[in-house]
Amino acid sequence: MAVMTLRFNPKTIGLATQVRIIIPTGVHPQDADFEKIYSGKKELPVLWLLHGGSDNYADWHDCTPVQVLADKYNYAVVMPDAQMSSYANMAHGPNWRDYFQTELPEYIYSHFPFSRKREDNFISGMSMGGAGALKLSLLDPDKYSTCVAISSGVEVVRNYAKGVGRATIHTSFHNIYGHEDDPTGVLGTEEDIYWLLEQNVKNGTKLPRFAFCVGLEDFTRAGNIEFRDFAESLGVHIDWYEEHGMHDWDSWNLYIPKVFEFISRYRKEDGID
Amino acid sequence: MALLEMDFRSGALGFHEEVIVSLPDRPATKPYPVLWLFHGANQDCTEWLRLTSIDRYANNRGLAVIMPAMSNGHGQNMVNGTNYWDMVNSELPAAMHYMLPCLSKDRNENYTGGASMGGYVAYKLALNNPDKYCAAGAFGGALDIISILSGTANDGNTGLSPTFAHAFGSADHIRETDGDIIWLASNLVREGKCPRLWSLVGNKDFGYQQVCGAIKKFKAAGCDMTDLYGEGGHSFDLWDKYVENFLDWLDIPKGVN
Repeated sequence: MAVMTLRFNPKTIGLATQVRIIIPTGVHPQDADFEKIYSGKKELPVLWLLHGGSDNYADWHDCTPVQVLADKYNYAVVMPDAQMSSYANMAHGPNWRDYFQTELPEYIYSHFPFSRKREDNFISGMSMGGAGALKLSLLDPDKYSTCVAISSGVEVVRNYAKGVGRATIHTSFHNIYGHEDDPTGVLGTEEDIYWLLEQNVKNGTKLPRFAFCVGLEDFTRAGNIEFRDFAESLGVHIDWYEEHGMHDWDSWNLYIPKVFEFISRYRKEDGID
Repeated sequence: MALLEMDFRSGALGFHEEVIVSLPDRPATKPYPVLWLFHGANQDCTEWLRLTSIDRYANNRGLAVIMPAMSNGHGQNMVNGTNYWDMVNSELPAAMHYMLPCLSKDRNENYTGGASMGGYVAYKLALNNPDKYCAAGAFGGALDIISILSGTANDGNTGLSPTFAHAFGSADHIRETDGDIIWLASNLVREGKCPRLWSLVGNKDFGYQQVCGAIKKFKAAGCDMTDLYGEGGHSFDLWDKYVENFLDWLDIPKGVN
């Protein structure tokens, strides 16, 4: 088991940023033949795990047992930082979406022993990161085989367009989505998850496997149900897991093991493992 | 330059090994040459990063730098303590080459360096693995290890300090073993396989006489030995000024960025 923090300066965002990375090594105390242990290793499957609004790259690692799960399932975990960006090319800010689609994965694959294969790449996240995971998996459905979206803010873009809900009270959302004169301008863009799903279905694209986790008392629950119903109406299935709980780390500690369980189950069903 | 702060569970140590890695900004389309860089006694893996501009110099040369935590282990399987030799000789390179496939495995692109205790570790690693490392450098290195352990190095110590005793046991315990770096070097010179060696010592370093004695022995053995002497003590105040000199001597092509 190795844990690391990468600090680098991606050109796409023009900022210094951080990534927490977990690499399961399978090395245990008293192991001795290290060349044999390490030389026989294959490239690892990798879970891209996205943080929520107001959080950072360290929160999943600090607040949940994700490291224990990575070791158990033998998946690498990459936890990048996205500040308060909704993983968007911000109207007034850095091009985070470009970073997540191009420079980050290229940097990671070219420096670390991680598989580029679709079947070995999974994306998840909670809240802002759940919506980010959905968006990135819909933008690059050929790169991710599974997306597990937790307590996702799937309603944010639609609410912003309508001028209702939390999306209107936070100045950060104006920085992200812009279109201040006519917020409906955000609809039908790469930030609009509903639209992205529709486009994928229209084009007959092979989609990742989707699973949602959301608490019965979570304020994002209604939005998640609405999105699931919309997806099902287009013939896209979303697996569902729920427990009592709110929009907090108590809930996300219940869901992070489910992320690994969903991925593992899908890989077995698809004959990968 | 990118910085990796990492730790991994070490089988050799039986606990976690902390490592700092400096990666150059240039794309990893061609593997990075690697400098394995060791800190001194009573220091940790942050020493080189904090006390020199190694990060910037290495980036300018497209060089990756691996700075592992060595505790006060002197790169030994300690007589009383931890197996730092197994870690640095075997586990660390295997783990790093696995976790960072962007690092070159080419012998001619792998170098070792270190300060004080780390200078000895750098020589020991390269001289035990001449097929894996092509050059080694020491800043105020504890190089004449047999004399140090015998109390005859004129370094102000007449007896064996506890940290040396725990790591090495005694001079007799080290003589003509993988810890006896001058003996190793003379054997490799005979086989025509000795890595190039570089040394810097300050004229006010308490180990000045010790280093001069070691240089004389490496040269007598026929080593390709570059020895530099600076105005200063056993301190990064001096060593920092020679870091680029050392990197230039390694002959890493400049301007790959």
